[in-house]
Amino acid sequence: MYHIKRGEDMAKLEKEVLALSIKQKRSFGDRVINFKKDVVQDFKRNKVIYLMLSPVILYYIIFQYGPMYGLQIAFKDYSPVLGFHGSPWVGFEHFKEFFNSFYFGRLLKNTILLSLYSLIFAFPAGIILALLLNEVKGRIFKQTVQTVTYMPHFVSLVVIVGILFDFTARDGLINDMFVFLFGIEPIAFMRESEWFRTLYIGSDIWQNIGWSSIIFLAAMSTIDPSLYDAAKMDGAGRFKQMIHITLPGIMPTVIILLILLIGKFMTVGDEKILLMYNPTIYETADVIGTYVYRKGILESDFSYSAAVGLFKAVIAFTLLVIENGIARKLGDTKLW
Amino acid sequence: MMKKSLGERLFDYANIIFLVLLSLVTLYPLLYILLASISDPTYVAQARGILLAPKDFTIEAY
Repeated sequence: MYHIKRGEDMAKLEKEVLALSIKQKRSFGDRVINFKKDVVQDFKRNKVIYLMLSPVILYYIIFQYGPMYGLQIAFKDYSPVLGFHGSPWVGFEHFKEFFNSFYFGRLLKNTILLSLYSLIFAFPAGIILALLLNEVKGRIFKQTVQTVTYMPHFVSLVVIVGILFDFTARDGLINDMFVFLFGIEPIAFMRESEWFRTLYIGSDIWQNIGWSSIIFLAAMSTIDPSLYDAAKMDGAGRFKQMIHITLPGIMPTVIILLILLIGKFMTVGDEKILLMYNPTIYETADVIGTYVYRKGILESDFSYSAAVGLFKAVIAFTLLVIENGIARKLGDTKLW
Repeated sequence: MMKKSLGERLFDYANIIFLVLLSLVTLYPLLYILLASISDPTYVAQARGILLAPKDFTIEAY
């Protein structure tokens, strides 16, 4: 009896929904008018909220969308004397020049490799530290380790690279240690191109491991403790608990952070590379960002560097869209 | 409370040792910069090995 009643209710509901959807299939003009009405009404209702939103919108207009007007110089032969309008159009000339140049392959390879390595090594480092900290029982010990490991995040990049230079110098601590332990010749780390990626990623992990673990620890603290109790009852050891409860519990956070990271895929830490590199290690250290800086700011080749920068932005944007699409397909976690 | 297995205890010790080492590795360079900033610059430039205390204290750099 109950069944049938429920079935009838469902049928009724379906009919209503169908009727509603037919009603909503209005003409395009109608919808535009309605949309305008809705906006005006919403604006009247939430005046204060819109007012609070305005600085953010202004920021984006002035500092993000406004400068895009200047992007046109990527397709022009820009000279500051003639201005944005006066400079002659050259089409894709600068792009062609860049794609055919000797540096193109090297820059692309360095940028992608550095990003890839930081994705493979630096990103999981924070997760692993968070997992290890999660297993620690002593509160005070845990908090001390956390505080100590996220301290370097607040130190200026210039100081970090200064420390790096000091420690990796030929008579620095790391070389002294290597010579003592393995009896090898001292290595001039900062002047050997094959060491650059290791140093860059290594110091990046050193600086940011604690900071990136915080967000994962926060995600772990939201996991329902009863899940762990249930797992214990089922005879799961601590490793099993970690694999089957903690990791799935932080997965949404991991995926969101991964998407955000891939959005910045083409933007490796340009400032840090500028501080670290020198012409002898351009072979591995020169990335698109630093090349744009050298060409555009140091050599005043504005149009060319704008074209290179635009190329980088287009790739980054495409990657973000693709990755978000994949995340959408795989699960519920997505940016938009 | 369940008794911990040998593996678990080993993991706990290894974990704590690892975290202590990580903390030291993180802390030392920061300490080094602090000590170097209040030490005699010529001494710091020549110094080999580990710096544990300020040498010839000076706040000239500041």
